[in-house]
Amino acid sequence: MRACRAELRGLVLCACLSVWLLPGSACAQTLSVPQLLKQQERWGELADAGARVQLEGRFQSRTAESFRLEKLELIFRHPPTVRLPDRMRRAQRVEVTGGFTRDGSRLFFTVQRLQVGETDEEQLRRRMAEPGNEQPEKLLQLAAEYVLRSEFYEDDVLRQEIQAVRGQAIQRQKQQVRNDPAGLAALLQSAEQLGVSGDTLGQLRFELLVLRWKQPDAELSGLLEDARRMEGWDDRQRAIPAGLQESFAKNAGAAWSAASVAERRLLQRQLYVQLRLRDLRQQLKADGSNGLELARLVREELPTEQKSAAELEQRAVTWQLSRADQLDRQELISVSGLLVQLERAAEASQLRATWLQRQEQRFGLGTLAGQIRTADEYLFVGEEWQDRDSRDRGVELLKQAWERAGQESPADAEGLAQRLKTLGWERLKSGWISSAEFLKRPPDDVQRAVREGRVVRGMTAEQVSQTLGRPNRTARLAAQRVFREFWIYDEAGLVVRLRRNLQRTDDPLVVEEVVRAGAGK
Amino acid sequence: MPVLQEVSLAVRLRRTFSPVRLLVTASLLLLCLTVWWMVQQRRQDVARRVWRQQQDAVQQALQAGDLSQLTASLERVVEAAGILGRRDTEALRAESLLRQCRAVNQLSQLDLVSSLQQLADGNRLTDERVTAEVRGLVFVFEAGLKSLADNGGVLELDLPLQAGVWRVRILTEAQSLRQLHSAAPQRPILFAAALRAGRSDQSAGSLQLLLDDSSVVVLTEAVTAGAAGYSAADASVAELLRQQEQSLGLSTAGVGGAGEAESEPGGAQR
Repeated sequence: MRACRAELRGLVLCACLSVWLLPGSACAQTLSVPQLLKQQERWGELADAGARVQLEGRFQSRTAESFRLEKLELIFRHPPTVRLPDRMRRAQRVEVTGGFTRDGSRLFFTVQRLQVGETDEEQLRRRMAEPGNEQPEKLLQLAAEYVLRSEFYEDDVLRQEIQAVRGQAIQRQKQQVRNDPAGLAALLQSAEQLGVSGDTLGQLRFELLVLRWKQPDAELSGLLEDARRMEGWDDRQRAIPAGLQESFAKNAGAAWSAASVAERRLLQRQLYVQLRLRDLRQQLKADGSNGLELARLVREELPTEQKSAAELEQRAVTWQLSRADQLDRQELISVSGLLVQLERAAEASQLRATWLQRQEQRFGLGTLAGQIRTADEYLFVGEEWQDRDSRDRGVELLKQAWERAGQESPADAEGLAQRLKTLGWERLKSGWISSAEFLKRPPDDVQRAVREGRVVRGMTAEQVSQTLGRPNRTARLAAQRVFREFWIYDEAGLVVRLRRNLQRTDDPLVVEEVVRAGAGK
Repeated sequence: MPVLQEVSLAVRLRRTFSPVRLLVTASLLLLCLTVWWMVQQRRQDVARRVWRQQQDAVQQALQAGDLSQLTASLERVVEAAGILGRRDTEALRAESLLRQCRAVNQLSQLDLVSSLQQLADGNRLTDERVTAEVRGLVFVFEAGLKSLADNGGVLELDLPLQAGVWRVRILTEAQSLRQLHSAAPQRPILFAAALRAGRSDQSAGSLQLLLDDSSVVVLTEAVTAGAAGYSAADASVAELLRQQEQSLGLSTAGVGGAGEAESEPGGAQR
């Protein structure tokens, strides 16, 4: 009874296997290793039933009469009539036909027929090259077929190959959407989902950015945001070689794909630079009035773009030059400095001259205040740019203002005299002289003594009065030809003897001698 | 031989002073007196005319500042005043003015300061050398005066003059200066005077110059001050001259016209 029950069970199993396996045999369906592994608990039953199994897997290792397949803890025994090629390579695909057999408690797979093929990578490559597979969609489909294998076998090489295939497919798709930002964006999204290589993704991102940049209506803030996600975008110091720049200009995408990692960083920086430059140029006002600010940003953010900064400065300078008469001092300094930087020093001089001329017209020389204000401007230019002519003109105007103030506003005259003195001028009877000339005068020079508050020979009575004040007492002594006055300063203990020659009517009373009062034997 | 009889004195007197002779003599004397009187009258007439005329000339010269014309006119005015026997303020003023003119006309051509300096720089100073150098030199001074402590009658000019290491002191006893000084001790006096002598005081290190007091003449007119180098535009000088004139009683306003003046005229001799 028991034997009958076992036979029945074998028959049922055989029937089931027949249902499961035979259709496969009939359709030449081959079990893969994962499929076989799923049925591992039934291997014994198959062995007992003597079922015929067709299996495909990857060759792992071999002995004289057996071999192993990857990921499968099963020894494949083959009879001498079935021979493995001598030069088997690991991961070569092997298709075996046979069945499970028991050897005691262990299960083996006895190979009845064996067919050795190429590795998955080789197969994939070959299939890629087959006609009809050049279409990107086909390539992607092809790559998809190998994904499960690569994951099951944890085959990085195959994964790379799959990525390469996908990469090729993406590249081919990219050719189709070459000038279509939307298509390229979709392709990028697809590539990201497919998990293609970083290089391919990087290239797609780069090319997409370049493409969007070249669109006339590009929204630059978004582009800049994207550009700032690329490596090397903020590498300000490294200059981009001319050759690379040329390649970038010719075909940025091609340049990127042909470039090394380091060069790609530079290209990405270059793209950012171009984007930012365009952004800044878009911010430039029509009259160029904000050119200086933008140029400053260019110099700060894009130090390699000095030329562009200079162009912006040129625009700003042109604008400033067009309104030279409205510049304030600070702006004049700024514009002049820029002109010098831009090697337009002659124009800087011309600008200052025009500016001064305008100031002169603006303030006018008809009033004391205007004269002083105009002099101030000339002196400012003279000091700021060490312009001797302007300084001289300023001083001259100041002198004229001083003369005028003497009549109109003595208080101002005093202040102006002080300013002139600060500027290195001394007022003498004969006119203003420079401090240097003044100091070259001998110590007993009357004018010098007056300025220094001393009384020396040759001083007039008026000068003595200005210097020492009115005397406490005076005495006089006259002869036919000579008239003398004795000015006695009790506090100072001084007697100033003044003399006038009566022979000449226009002779002034001048100091003849200064003596200490009470000096004597 | 006949012998002449001695004629008695009475007879001789009768013969000498005969009526005829007496009459003739008296007539002659009367004639002479008449002539003299007539001459005197004539001189006085002329003097009066000269006085009047020259007063005008003096005024014109004063206004014109013509010192030589002024001097000439004043000489005639003073002469006329003498003829007329006038001692009133006008006459005294004219006389004073004449003395002022003469003084400024005689101002020394030598420079006192330079002369003293040369003396001080030269050999040893002796009184004789100093006197010889300065005697008779006329200068115009304007200075305060101070009485010497040891001799109240002597005044020293407050003139800080120095000759080398010597302090020069100028001394005077002129009455007119004392008068002005006592009237206003602080006020300087403008006057002309000649130097009389000089002496050195080795112990005091001073050189004393003595004024010829008879030559002292106080200046009261702008024209004479101007001749000494003073500026006519100097208000302080004008004021000083006015005050001096007033103090000396030469101002017509001060003495109430041309009345007789008791005070000594400016520059009167001691």
